[in-house]
Amino acid sequence: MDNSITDPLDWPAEFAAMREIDSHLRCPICKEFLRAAMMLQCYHNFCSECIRRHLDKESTCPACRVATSTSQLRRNVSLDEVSQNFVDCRSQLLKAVKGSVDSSKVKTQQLPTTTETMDYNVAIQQKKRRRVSTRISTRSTRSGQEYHTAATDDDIDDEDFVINSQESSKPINNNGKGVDRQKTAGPVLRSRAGAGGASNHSTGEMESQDSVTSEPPAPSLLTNGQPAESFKHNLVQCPVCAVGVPEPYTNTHLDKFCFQGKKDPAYTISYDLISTQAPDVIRLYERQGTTTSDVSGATPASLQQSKSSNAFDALSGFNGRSAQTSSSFQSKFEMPVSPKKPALEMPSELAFDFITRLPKVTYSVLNDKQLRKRLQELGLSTQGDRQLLQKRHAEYVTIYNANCDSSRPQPVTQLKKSLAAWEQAYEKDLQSKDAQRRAQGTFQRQQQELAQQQQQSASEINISSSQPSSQSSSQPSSQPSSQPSASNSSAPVQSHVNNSLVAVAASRAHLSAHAYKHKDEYDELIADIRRRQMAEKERARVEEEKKQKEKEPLTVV
Amino acid sequence: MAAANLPKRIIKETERLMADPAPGISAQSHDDNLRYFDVIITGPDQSPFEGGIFKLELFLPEEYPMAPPKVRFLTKIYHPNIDKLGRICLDILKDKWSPALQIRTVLLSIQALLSCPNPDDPLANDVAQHWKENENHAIETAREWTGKYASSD
Repeated sequence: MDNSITDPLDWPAEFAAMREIDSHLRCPICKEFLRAAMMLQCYHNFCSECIRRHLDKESTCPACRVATSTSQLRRNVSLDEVSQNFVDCRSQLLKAVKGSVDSSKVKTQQLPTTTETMDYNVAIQQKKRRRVSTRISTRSTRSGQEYHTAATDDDIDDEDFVINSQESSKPINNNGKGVDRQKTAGPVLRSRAGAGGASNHSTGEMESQDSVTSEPPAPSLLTNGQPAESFKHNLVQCPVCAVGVPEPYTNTHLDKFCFQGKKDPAYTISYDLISTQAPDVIRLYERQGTTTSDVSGATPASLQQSKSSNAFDALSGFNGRSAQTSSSFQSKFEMPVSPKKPALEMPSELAFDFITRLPKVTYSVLNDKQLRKRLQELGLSTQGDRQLLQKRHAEYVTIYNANCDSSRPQPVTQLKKSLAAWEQAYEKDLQSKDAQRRAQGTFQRQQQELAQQQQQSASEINISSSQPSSQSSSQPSSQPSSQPSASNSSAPVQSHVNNSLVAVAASRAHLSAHAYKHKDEYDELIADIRRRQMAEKERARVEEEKKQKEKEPLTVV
Repeated sequence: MAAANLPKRIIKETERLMADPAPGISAQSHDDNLRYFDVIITGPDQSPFEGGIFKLELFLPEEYPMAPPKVRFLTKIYHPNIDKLGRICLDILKDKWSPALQIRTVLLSIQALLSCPNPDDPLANDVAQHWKENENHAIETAREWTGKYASSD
């Protein structure tokens, strides 16, 4: 995921449904798209990390407050897939949606027939072509067969958008065919527009074009990409874990990975290979006469190769996703893919590491030595005081277990890196809190001084309130209409009060000089002071009123 | 400095509050402290606080959203659940906080609290007493205070 801040409101108002979808795919706690979605018994979903963090503190559902616990967490795999795929295609989808809104606006304004959208589609296609071609240029060091890899990669990855990907690959295989491109690219975009319920295009046209798109791809397009095409057909479902595995790997998968845990690196390997090295592996496979050991032997080698020669593609491969849902809308061209990065190193490390989640620890029953031992067992630092050790352990357990829930798990090394980052932030935080606490000490002292001064001024107000006028003069703004007798104010008392107020103001300025770095406390303090002043004035006023009331009946009677 | 380690969620909420403010509620963060918000809530219709403009301050502690925001009235208000220091007695600001709540929902809850004071769970005892003994008179006082302290000048 990139660093930009996304919000459901990014979607145009015409696409209210997209806003809904967008917001429902977000975690209610962090407001990001769900990462490793977990469902509670009340059917509310959260990021694994967020809900684990919350359940460490409280045992209720954040959404409905039903009592719950970590043991009730269940992976919501399909929602997770939807969320991740949505993230992958969101920026493109948004572009397309916004484009369609723009073009439909233009359309209604200028009233051309379909040329506007056509132009738009052409533009989109050209963009895609550019992207494909840049990708190809990155492969320029490799053999001429790469063209077909590019094309067939798309075929495999974008099963739901077969036409789309073929369209983008078409200019590579046989340049030209612009008209076809326009025609077939239209519905992809428009059907999305239609999903938002605000499509301005005629549905009849859409349907007819949809039927064009749903035709099987012309064979002529695929003849060139034969090796990988046959590879694609060799993808079989594992009878045990129902994951899509390339046929040559079925035995390796069953022998080595299938039974060893829910996270299936074999599958990831195979998918990395599909997206990166498929033809190579197939060639290897065909040349060497296909024993499973050969293939598995080839695995690390080809992974290595993919690391060195073609890291970009390997990164954007579909790690840990099921074949049925691998529709990424060509996201591989755009996504920065930071979360996927570690997948390359995964197989060796992950095969055994992520089988079980770490248990929660009741730290109060552990002494320091035992706690250190636990940390050591996890390969974590044992430096720091008791509190830090506890926090470190708890944080690691949280991110480790959340990682277990992820369908794109990271290697342990990565987890440790993020733990280190957390620790840095934590220490920084601690230091700043320390500084704050120290500052707070001075604050309190200053506050006391201030309070004394206030008391002084308040008592002065109280004294002066025996004279009906002074109080109203000391706070003319707060009670503009309260006192009819405000006109005959006594100057000495007023100046006195004003002096004390000046003193307060001066000490306030003094405070602010010290405290500009700690705005919160300072503001709170000032608010407190103001409030107290108000309270004092109020009290003075009430007394004043009482006295007046006492006087008034007399005068009236 | 403050923005460096500000969680995305807070930035997001701030932007959302600006872009799409809830009716009768405005919240603006301080430039130098993005966790500190100046809030203005208008008194809900058909309540003794109708027509009033109430200033509040809202602070998001370090643990937010795992810990509730700190909210306080800056404008004086005659309300059984709000004391004279402006502190608010509202369950979601204390034990009923949930990380699924956000600034917007908190402020909406406070606005709702203005509509229906709850003298059975008082913070300002004298006000609550007044409310229980003579509700009409208490409402009258609240209206008076609204005009006096929360009018729009």
